[in-house]
Amino acid sequence: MRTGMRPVFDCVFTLLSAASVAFLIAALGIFLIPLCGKGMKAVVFRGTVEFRKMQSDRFNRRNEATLQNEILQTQQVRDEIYALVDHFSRGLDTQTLADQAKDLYRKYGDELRSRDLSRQQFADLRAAAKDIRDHLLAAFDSTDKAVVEEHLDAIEGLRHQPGFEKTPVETMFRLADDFREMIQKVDLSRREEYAEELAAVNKELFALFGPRPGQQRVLAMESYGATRWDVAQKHLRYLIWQEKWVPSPDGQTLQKVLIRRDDPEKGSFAKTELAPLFGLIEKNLAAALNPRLTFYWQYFIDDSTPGHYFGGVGPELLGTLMLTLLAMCFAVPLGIISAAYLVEYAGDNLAVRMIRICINTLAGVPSIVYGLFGLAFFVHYITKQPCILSASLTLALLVLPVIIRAAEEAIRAVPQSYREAAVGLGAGKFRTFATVTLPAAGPGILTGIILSVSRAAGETAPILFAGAVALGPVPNFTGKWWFQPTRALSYGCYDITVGDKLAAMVPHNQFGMVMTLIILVVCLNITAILIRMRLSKKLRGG
Amino acid sequence: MPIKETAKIQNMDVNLKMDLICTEAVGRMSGINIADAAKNIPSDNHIIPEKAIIRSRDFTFYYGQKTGVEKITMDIEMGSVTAIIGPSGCGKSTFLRSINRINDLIPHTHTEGLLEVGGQNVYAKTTNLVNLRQQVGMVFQRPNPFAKSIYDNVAYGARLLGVRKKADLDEIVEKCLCDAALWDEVKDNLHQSALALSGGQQQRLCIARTLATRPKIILMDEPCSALDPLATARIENLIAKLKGTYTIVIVTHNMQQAARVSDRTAFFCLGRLIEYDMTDKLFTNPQQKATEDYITGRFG
Repeated sequence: MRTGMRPVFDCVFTLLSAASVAFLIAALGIFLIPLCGKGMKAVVFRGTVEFRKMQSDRFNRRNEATLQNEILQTQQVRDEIYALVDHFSRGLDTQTLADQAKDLYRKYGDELRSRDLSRQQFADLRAAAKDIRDHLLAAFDSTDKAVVEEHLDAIEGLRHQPGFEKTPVETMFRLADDFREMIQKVDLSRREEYAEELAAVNKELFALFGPRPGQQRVLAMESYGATRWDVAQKHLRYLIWQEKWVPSPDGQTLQKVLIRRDDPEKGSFAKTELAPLFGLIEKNLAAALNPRLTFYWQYFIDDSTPGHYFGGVGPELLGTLMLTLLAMCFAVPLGIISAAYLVEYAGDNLAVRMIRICINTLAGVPSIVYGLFGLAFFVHYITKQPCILSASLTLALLVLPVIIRAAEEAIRAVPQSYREAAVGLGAGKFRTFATVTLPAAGPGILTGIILSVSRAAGETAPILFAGAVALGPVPNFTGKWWFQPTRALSYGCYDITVGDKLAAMVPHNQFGMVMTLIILVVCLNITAILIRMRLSKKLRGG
Repeated sequence: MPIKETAKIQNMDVNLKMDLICTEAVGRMSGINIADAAKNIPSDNHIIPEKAIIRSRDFTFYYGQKTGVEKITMDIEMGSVTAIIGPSGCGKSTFLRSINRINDLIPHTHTEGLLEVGGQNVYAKTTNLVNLRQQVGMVFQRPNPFAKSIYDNVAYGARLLGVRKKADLDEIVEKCLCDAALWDEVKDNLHQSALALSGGQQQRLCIARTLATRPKIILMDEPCSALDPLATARIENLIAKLKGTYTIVIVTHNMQQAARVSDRTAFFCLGRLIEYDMTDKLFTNPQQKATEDYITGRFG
């Protein structure tokens, strides 16, 4: 009866363990594959001409002839789009029109002064021009079609007065004509709404195509349009679709609906001159941006513009590497010495047992606690400012218990016979440890180090206050580099995640950072594993 | 044994621990009164005034409160091979390991009585342990070469002596390996890992490593117990070869081995020295009942 059950238990146990391993692998796959897939999009994507412009300007990577050619070609398509928008906005933007009218009037006055005219003539012409100007301003100002037409008619009446040929006043007449034409198509009462929507359209156009030729921008992130085809698609969506609040069927509440801006029924620009724009952009976006599959391996070395809008994760990668390795430089020697003391020198008394309990507890303390400690101690008392040194000290503190425990176990696991052999030959305690015990414990200690490297590289909380910044100098090794704050992958990822709407436009960077972090940790681990393999092979006698 | 005591000696070699646990059992099984046996030991055999390199007088070794060996009085002749035999847990390893104080690695131990090596009290406070252990080399039960190359294993002792020059080290390594009858087998791959050698070769390497510190005495703690008969024969030949140049003390469970290699044999039982005499005399004509029982295989 009892023995009959044993194979069943064996089977169940085997199945359970296999299942848990399979579950772990599956979870890892489910988690890592999409993550790295999304991250890869930061490196492999369809780059637009804006991307190549950015590469050329910022990183000096270019093929001058092709780039210029490309810019010219895309510019043609864009000019068509801009022309449409400009034409429409000229009628709409009455402020600019009014400014223009005032300007023209002033110019005309200057012209009159330089001409040889009698005082009476000068006064008459000037008064007439002023009249035209006032009518124009009034027409621009009004939202009532009848009033506008009245003013425009008045201008029309002044047109045939002699003395205005080939002067700025002619331009004023043309303004009036354009405006008359425009008010036929545009519902003047909705001018405010048009202006607002047009601003939104312009913003999205800007996001797509960047500044127009000749237009200068101060901010780095405003220097280029959409560098990636996926981002361009997103902006295109924002451009074409608008959010509108419409009464819900029950008539009680408003609900948000998405409608096309050129929708013939409800769209803001229905039946206006701008309506064809959306179809045009939709059709010609590819021609205007010229997307091409790009392998952007420089992603891992490039600096980025603030907010990670353009560029790569070079400084973050370097910063993380610096923080991790520096933390290891502090933690590994200290950890091994502590472990050696605990195993080889400390006896077995209450104090030592207390120390062991403390170390085990510290290994489980949440990392944010270390972060706060780093702020309260390292930053306030030692470095006086958040910087690489304080951040890596905090990280070192975080991984120290792990290293001590791993090293302790590894040193304890070295056969006593090794020590006896060395001691039997006359080696002292320290010499025995340094020449025999430590090398034999090497692989075990390295395992602990591998675990802690991964942990140190990935932790955000400890460096949150102690030296990580979202916007900072590119790490360099000149001067007192350890007193600089640094960017880091984990912190950058956090920063994008908690960022604003702008950050939502760069999910590829967020995932790219995560992927870079994973790659970095895997690379560090593989290095350590290779070293460990070499070591244990040597120990086993390969 | 109280639990506390057990905890104290938890770091002790498994072998020794077993010995301690077995001691009482052996005493019961053998059915002899050891205290009585020890009382009527004719101690004149134990003392060899001239030529003695190791002198032990009422030497007692304690693991905590428990004695490992008790009141051992014996001399070991310079240049000879001395075998120590006895059942498990009789303290022969403890005694051997006291001679170069390797037992110091075990916490909570202390000693009484006198143990001298070359006229120097081993357990005196002023003893220079490094010197002592270089004079008294040790070969362990299981081959325990370091996880280093063959060359580095042998050179380890020489480097401890302060030899730094490559040429000197080369010479020492070659000489020691030759003395340990290993040179011909390993001369072509000296920089191979020592752990790649066979068990017998490893044990000879350990002997070579010990020779490199130029000891006067070599202690061997059951050096052949982990080896096959062929490797054992090689080690025994080696012992015969080293005899005269070095004083060798060998602990063994194998009475034939003791009879083959040693000049004198000591029989330990339950932490006491029962009988100590010339080997052929002890095996052919034991003075003590316990010795006779043991060598004839009646117990142990």
